[in-house]
Amino acid sequence: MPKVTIDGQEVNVPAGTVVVEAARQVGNEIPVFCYHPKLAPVGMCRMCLVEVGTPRLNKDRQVELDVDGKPIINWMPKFQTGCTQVVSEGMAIRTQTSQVAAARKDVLEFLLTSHPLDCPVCDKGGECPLQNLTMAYGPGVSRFDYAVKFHFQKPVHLNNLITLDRERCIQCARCTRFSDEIAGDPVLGFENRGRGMEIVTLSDPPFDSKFSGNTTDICPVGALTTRDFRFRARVWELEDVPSICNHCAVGCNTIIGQRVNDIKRIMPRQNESVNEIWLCDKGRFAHHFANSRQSTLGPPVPSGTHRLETPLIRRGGPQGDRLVPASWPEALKLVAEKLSAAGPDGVYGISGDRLPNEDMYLFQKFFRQVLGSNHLARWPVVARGPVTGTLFQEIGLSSGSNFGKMGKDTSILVVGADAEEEAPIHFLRIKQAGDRGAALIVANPYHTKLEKYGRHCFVYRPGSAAAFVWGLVRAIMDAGLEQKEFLGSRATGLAELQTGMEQYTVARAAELAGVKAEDLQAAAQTFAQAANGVLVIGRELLGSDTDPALPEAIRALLTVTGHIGKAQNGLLPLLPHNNTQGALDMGLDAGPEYRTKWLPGYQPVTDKGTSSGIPASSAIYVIGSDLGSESDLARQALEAAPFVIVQDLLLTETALLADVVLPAAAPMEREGTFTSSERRVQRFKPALQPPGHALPDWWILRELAQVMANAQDKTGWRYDTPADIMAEIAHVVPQYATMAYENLPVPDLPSRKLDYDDSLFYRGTSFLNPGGEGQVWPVKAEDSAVVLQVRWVEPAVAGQPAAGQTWLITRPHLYDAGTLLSQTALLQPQMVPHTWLHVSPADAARWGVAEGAAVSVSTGEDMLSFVVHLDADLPAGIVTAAPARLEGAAGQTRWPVNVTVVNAQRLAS
Amino acid sequence: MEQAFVILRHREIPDIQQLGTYIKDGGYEAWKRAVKEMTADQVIDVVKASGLRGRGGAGFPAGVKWSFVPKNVFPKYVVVNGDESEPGTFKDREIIEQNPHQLVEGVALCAYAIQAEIAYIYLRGEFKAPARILQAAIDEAYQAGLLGKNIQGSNYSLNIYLHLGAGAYICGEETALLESLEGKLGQPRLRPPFPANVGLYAKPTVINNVETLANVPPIVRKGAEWYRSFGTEKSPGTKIFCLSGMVKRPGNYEVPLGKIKIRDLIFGEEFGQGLLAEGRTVKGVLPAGASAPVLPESALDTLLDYESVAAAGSMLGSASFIIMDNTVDMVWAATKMVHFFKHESCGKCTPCREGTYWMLNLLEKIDHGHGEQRDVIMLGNVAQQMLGGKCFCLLGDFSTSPVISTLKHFRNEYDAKVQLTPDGGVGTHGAHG
Ligand SMILES: Cc1cc2nc3c(=O)[nH]c(=O)nc-3n(C[C@H](O)[C@H](O)[C@H](O)COP(=O)(O)O)c2cc1C
Ligand code: SF4
Ligand code: SF4
Ligand code: SF4
Ligand code: FES
Repeated sequence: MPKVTIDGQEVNVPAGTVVVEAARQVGNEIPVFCYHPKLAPVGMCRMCLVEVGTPRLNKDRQVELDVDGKPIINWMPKFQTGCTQVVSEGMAIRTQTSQVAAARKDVLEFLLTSHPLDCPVCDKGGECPLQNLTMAYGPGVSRFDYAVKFHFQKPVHLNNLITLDRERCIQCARCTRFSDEIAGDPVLGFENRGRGMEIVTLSDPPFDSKFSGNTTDICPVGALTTRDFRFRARVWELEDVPSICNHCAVGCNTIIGQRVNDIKRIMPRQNESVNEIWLCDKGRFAHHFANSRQSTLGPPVPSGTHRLETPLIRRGGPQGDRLVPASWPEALKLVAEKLSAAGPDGVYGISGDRLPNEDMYLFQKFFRQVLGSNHLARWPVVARGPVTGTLFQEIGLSSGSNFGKMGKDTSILVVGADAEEEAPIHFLRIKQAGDRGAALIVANPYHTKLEKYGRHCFVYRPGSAAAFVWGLVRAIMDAGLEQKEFLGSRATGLAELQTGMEQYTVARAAELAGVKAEDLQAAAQTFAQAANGVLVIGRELLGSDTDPALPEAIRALLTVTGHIGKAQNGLLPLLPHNNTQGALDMGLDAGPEYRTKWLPGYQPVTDKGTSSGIPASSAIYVIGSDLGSESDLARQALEAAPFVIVQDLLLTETALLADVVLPAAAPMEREGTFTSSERRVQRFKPALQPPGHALPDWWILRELAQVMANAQDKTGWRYDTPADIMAEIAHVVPQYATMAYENLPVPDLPSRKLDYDDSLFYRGTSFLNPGGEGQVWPVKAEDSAVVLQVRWVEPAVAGQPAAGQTWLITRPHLYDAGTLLSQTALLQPQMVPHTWLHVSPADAARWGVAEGAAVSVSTGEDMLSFVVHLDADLPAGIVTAAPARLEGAAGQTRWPVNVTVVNAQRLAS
Repeated sequence: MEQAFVILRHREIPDIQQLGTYIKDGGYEAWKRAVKEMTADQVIDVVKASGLRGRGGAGFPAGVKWSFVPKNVFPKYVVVNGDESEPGTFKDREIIEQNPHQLVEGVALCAYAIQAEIAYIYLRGEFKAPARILQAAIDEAYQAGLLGKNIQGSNYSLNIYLHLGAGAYICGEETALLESLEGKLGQPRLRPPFPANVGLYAKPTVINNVETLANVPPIVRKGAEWYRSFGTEKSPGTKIFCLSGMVKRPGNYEVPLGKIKIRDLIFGEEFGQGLLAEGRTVKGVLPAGASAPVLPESALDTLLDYESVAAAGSMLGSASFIIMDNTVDMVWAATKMVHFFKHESCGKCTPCREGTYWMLNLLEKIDHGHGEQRDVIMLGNVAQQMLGGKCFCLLGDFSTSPVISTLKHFRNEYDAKVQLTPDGGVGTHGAHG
């Protein structure tokens, strides 16, 4: 740790520290524009000039001392840039001299000569580093003749989300470096020179990145702004409310900027364990479902998707049955009557996996306690088995893990996951870990972007994930790389495993998976020899027709390598939605029979057996799920049901099938908690008022329970706030024992963020997060007394497609055109409709179909129709479609289909 | 003082651009000896001992630069700077067109000295015709077994590639040149790391000017002692002076360093033969194109070597002497030069990007007769404001030279210009923001 003297104060800083960071440690700010702690320094803006000197050495290379015994300093004749100057032992730095002050003033004056000074109409105004640093360090007036300012045509669109004002750009290269270094999308660059130098996009489609919005946060001026927020408010008018992204299961921390009960923008809130200071574009922009009633203010919304404001009841009339507005007491009374009449065996509950924990807990409690029924299921059908919540709860990524701290000593194995599409910020952080030296191993049935950073990459035969993982296990055992000491005390079944696997050689595994044996061995070695190992799995492996051998292979792999039970180790499933994990935790972890097997906290259901599937002629209560739009089978069941209750935000296709529709509040209209796929429980605060008479789901359930429990005991249902419900969950669910709200602080933000420390962002627009990083509940394996049972289960052999057949695989897309996402018209160009069948150009040519052609595909049981979308990155012989489409549409015996062979039939295009 | 043709050999030996003629004159002898008999370090040592200094501008000793290259990192590269974009500089072009084999041999010797197996010659985009000549010479050398695999039966191989730039002055700056060569936007790189350690494609790289490397074959062939017989102790060897401007006989003149004065270069029979018309006097001399401060007439007796020109308050740089006589309007001249820098500023750093733009605005205003005294003062301020480490690379500093030096020596001309404004330049007219 070199010792340096900054403005007379001595301080030890780690070797490699740059002067701006060192100065921070003694509390002296060096103003910067181009420097950003997450990006490689470039020294372009010249704002950070300081005086630097090094100790004078005598002939024997000893430091020469002056009469006071102090080292004599050789001051460098010119200013140095503090953002690029790395400290060295004995270095002296002056940041506060009048010369430095003058230099800062000079640089600012230069910067302002070509700045358009349109602060009054600039979205950045009020949180702009250029404004702030000018106030702090700049000249009071400019001597530059305003009439000769350099002009560019005012804004240009970099893509459909981001707008560039080249006059405001100060050429700091933060946006280009973010795209190159952090996002791995080298799609922005500079063009031309001098004052004419401008940011341009180099990709087609333009600025092709799922992370483009982040550039607007770190742009130190108003050059990059989002089309979403453009001219919609002044930043000081916003009320900033801490929230959690309600899209994917990463659980990014956000700030909702709210004004007049309208979301003006969503910004990242720093959480170095989750999203650092980034958000994906879906998280940032896809909030319009909340205010989709306000179509006159925001961008237009698709018709028929206005927020529900009152309960609706289906009534007969002159035009036939119609959903007509009703009062809450009326609606609740009707629901209560119908559910009571149906009785425990005549009711069926389906919950979405986006609701907060509190609501899902009350939903299952309502069924189990008030209705006395275990007829509960969850939609979508992922993580229902064989790879299911109990596995995550056993060997999940250990608490204390942080992708942001993974580097050389870690190996991250990603199987059956397209991380960028399924969990963008996880992708970003896995990539970053790779950049820091972590060994990434990427295995999928098709190519994914993460391969670019992979040390070992595989494209395995569809359906052979279990064969592949078992191959790794075998290769590790062959090489004698298993963690013997760990296994000795922590695992049983090892001997049986070894005998069981005798015939299952690496060569056999390689053959089944369609990969090279030596590659498998090399990857196995990398994973086994890393001090830490994380296994990331995705949607492809979470379906209910996944090979039952897969969970055993996963457990065996993590157990033999000892990558289990300690921080930076374990299994991370990329779950589809913001609270899929919470649904599992709250006892909505239904087995393949579409009937829940677990109570909250993974306690088995012990009461009398239940039949499988949706019981015919039962009353169905759907909460927070638009399964009717995704699944034909679900649709049929709903149409056949004698009574359907749908509780949702919008009049969805599912709601249109209902007899009673109950209007619910959106997540940003109430408080609650979500549990991320890392099992991090995070709280969010309400930012908006719900529209009309809409109410939070928990509130509706409580009211319903009270109505139904009228004659009986109501004491169990006295919840005033979600905090009361969480207090009960903390009692009931062992994993949540410490999750009462007082232990899950959320920052109470002052009205403007500039009032507090801006140390990381130099007055950028990310928000700090003084309230902590949420709480992760520990998995079983973290308890050293727990012994893991490994077991050999032969992987299923995936059949080869017959002549004329091909593989059909589910492939998730970030912009999956789901019901909530579709409300954001801005993202329309990015959407991947459910109707698309992704086809490689080679296959398309083989079948003679072109982009946009209608095709139908037979699974043997079902005939599915699609529209062809050509995908040059897809290997020939594989077609892919949205999980929602396949999981919902497959044959009568099993709903979800993961991999199957289809006949592609040519239809008229 | 006579000219001495160490580099401009074609002035004595016609047709030396042909391989046969070049070889007859002793060409490629050094090269064959090097690959067959000399170690890489021996080559470096001779060049070090010769005291050869870089001819691209900075005058850094070439042999010392080569010795910085780490020995056991591979691959490494030699990059030849033939961007030759400084106004008034046309020496590299003459070497390339008339004596190309001497350059090729110099490149080869440099590559051998640092054990690089690939060399790139980067030529400015306009050098299409010179590039053809050079490529022909390279092809000849390949055919003669002087380049390519296992040269002259040794286990050393070398490939030389030509690359044309796209016309940017900044691409003469060595790190911007590397960026450009890698196919990126031509902007200078942060230093450290220096190219000797992290250069082209992040590998150790030596970058030398065309003229610098053209000196190397005679040095290796005839020895450091011989080379030092030209020039002075600190500035050994000969140097090509590019003479242009208002002289009778502009052109390249190769002269031992420190032996003649600026005055000789302008008026000598063998050199410029005086100004264009009778009765004119020298007003200003630009010793290194637009980049170096202009020297006034009083500096005409300065000797032509690195130290003397520096002592006179300018720099020898690429030795492109542009002579301005008393008919030249120095404010106009400064405007022209700043226009050049404003046009060529790469835009990477704030002070240069904005400062050149600002200086040009002020200069044009003054030159067009709309300036005021305070504009002249501001001009000086803006130029000073760009100095002291504020700019990322030297182009920014260079751009202030015409302004600061003309204000120093020819302030009266600025004053005269602002007097022309309706109110005599006292500062009540004109719109200021
Ligand atoms: C703005 C700028 C332009 C330059 N242009 C050239 C050039 O055109 N040709 C050249 O040889 N060196 C040029 N240089 C100098 C090079 O950066 C570098 O010092 C030189 O190529 C090193 O070779 P040498 O040591 O053989 O002189 C330029 C430097 C700067 C700062
Ligand atoms: S657009 Fe913004 S971030 Fe990008 S270079 Fe310009 S000022 Fe910097
Ligand atoms: S990565 Fe997931 S949680 Fe984060 S912003 Fe995007 S959708 Fe939201
Ligand atoms: S000084 Fe000028 S040329 Fe050099 S980096 Fe800065 S802007 Fe570019
Ligand atoms: S040059 Fe250091 S912050 Fe920009």
